[in-house]
Amino acid sequence: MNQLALDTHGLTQSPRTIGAIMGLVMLALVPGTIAYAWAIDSRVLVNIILAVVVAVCIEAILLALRGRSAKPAWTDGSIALAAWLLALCVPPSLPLWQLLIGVFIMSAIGKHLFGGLGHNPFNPAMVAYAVLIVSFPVTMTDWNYATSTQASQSTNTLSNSTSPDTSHAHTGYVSNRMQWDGLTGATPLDRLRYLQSTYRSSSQAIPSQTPAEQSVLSSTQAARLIMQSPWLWVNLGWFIGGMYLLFLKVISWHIPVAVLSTIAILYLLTGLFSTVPTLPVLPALLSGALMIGAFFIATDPVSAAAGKSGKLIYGSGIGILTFVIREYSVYPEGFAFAVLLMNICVPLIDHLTVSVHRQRRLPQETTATLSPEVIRRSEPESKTDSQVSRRS
Amino acid sequence: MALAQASHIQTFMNWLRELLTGDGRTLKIRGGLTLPRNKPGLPVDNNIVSLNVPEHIVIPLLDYHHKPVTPCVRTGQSVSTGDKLAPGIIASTGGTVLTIEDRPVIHPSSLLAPCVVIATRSEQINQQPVHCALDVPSIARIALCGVRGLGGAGFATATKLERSAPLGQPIDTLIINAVECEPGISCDESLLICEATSVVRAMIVMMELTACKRCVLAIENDKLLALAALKQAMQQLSTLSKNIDVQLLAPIYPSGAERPLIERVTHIRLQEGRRPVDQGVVCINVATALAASQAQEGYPLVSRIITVAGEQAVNAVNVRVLFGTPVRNVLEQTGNLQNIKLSRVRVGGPLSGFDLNNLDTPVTATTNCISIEAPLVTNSPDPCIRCDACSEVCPVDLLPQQLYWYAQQDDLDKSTHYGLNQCIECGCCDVVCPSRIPLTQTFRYARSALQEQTQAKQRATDAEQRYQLREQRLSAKAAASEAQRKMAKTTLTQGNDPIAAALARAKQRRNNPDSDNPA
Repeated sequence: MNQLALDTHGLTQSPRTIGAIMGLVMLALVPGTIAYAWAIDSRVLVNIILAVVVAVCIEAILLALRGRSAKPAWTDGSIALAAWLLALCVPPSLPLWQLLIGVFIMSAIGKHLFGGLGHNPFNPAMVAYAVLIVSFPVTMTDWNYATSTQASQSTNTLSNSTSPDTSHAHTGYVSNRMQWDGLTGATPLDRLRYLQSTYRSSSQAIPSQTPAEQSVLSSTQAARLIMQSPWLWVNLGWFIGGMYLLFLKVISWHIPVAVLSTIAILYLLTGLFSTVPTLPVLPALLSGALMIGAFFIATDPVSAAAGKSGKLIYGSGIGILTFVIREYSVYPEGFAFAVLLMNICVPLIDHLTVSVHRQRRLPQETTATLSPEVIRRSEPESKTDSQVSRRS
Repeated sequence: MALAQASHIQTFMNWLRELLTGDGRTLKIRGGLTLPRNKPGLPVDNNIVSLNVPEHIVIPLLDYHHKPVTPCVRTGQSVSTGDKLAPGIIASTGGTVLTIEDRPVIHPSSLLAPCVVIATRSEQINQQPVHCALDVPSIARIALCGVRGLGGAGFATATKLERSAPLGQPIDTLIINAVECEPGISCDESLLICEATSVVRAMIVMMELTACKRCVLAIENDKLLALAALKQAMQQLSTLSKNIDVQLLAPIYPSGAERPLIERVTHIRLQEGRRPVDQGVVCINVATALAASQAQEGYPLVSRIITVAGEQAVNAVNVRVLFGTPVRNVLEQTGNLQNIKLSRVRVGGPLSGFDLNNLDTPVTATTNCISIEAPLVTNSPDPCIRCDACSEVCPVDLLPQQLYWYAQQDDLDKSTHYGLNQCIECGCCDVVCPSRIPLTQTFRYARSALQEQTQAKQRATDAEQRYQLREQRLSAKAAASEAQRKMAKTTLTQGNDPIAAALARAKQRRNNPDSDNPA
């Protein structure tokens, strides 16, 4: 295929190259990254730079080992972008050697094991994230960043009413290691998870509650947890970057809209029917990894579904799975796993959506085209064909 | 509607109609690209130069499907303009058949095909009618004059029109296609500028011929010169042309292709495997319509207008070229042959065309443009990142990146499932691909592989059929002889046994030797 060459004669503006697309996505990451460094922890900048540099080196080495040109490692920008996203997803306090292991896994297992750019069925950054969170659960959930928040302090005083022992039992390793003071730096979702579990355990332990105990956690309080957290600024930064990408048509609207609207609908429904207080819709959308995930991670074209309807299905699948993992598993946030699980489904989605797509275009008159009349009509043609071939 | 009121109001009304009308029609234009209007070489003084006839012309003996057809002339035979060389193929000028041999023809893979080589007699393209003029237009005359589609595919026009007649399918809309959105190509536009009156007359003839309810001339709204000429012509012929609707389209490539055009004009989305005529639509290129109407006056279709253009063209121009003229000769006569070694000659437009490896290939009815481009900087494509930019611009709603995946693997079944046969090879996906993957070229290749496979299958079926027929014939023969034998046997067993009779006669003779000589 390599001999086939393409030309468009400079007739049109030359198309965006892969490098340009990745560059624009990185540009869109800038506002969120600045907000992150400013409001949460400036160590993230060190992580990003280190991850990007090492990732490009590893990519170049792997490409050379595979007997390819190493140039795409720094020209197409895909690995740099993935490294940047990985550095944003892990806690800033993660030991650097663990981050670098993550970077290696991302490039080697996430990407080159499957054949390099364009062939990876899974989002490489999310593969690395999943491996890291399973391998180093303690450091990967230690969001012990420098800034502490008003909100966390206010909820801290509120949650003093419950015993720390119950929290150990119900939040798994999220707060296993953390001593009571360590929780001051947890992400809002960690804290919400903790509060919800204590709420659940207290309501189970004491069926007859006093109204005072019921007010330990309310959904407005949960909302305040999110909206007063410095993470809000970071998430707004991702949102601005995402809008920029949509505006430039680097990404299509289908996946972000599907992810966010599914999450919104599910939170709306749980808000109406759930016994445990949960987040209202807007704070839910601005919490956790949803903004960066919906705009930057789920939209990775290589591992996402193709076609409009496929993208909508893929996005809403991610939304549902994220919600389920958030609400019913030991992890406070489940975007990475949701993306990986939906990546597995992509071939199926592609297959099914193409069938739908084709059925819509295939006529109902398929039977009509095969009616005896038409066959009879086409007979003379085939006869002449056979006559020609007989003569020749 | 006359063109006078047509311009802005109708564009607006079309837009409004596209926006508002529902009832199972398509509302918006699918895919496509807005490309710069780059049309050098439009005729200056309403005159299109005809090129001289070269000493030798080469006429490929290929039908619409690129299948060879059997010639009906011999080497050394003298032919005159319009004579039949093979079914559906006519001689474009008078002369002597030099030879019938395999020559390179215009094809993406520079295929060799049987061609008739004619040593020409005259220097000029024949301008005289060779048949008598007809009063009532007839389809048979179109076939006789060898009219083929001058737009893209080169389908025999008579066959196209006949398809509607015997099935009793009334033609609702006749679309005259004057849309040429591809940059560089301007042959239909030149035709409209220079021969607008004949074109309007031709449309009237075509309306009569197809007995259509409505005739639409589809043209882009940025062809200002052509529109001005058309307006004048329609005003001149206002009594006749009042049934012609001029539809102005925004210049979105590839609106000139049949299916996208039908969709834009009639809002009918053609289903896979269905012909336009099944929906009561016939779409004819404007130059083809003119040729079909001239056929009624006795002129065979022997030449066409070709745009010679491109980045490195010295002299961009539209010229009338006789079919069978080698591309080299066209370049020479238009003054573009210098330094041709340093350039790349391409047949068809920059998007939908392909590179020509051999300059001695002859021009045919489908050669609308010869473009001279800078040589390629070969860049090996990057891998596909499934960004879907290609499916967004695809005018026929395919998923090119998925199709590419299977076409590249030679998985023809899967490719067909993903709509390989509906690809119109417009080249839009190539233009937007960030990985610079030659998608259209891959599809073209896969299609020819598919066609080959189908033909091989057809040959196998034919052979099987022949074998079965032979078996049937043989068994019938065997059965007949068996029956004859049986009949003979039964006559033997029933009474008058000839052997017994002979024996009896011999015995009688021995007994009565006197009666040796019977009376």
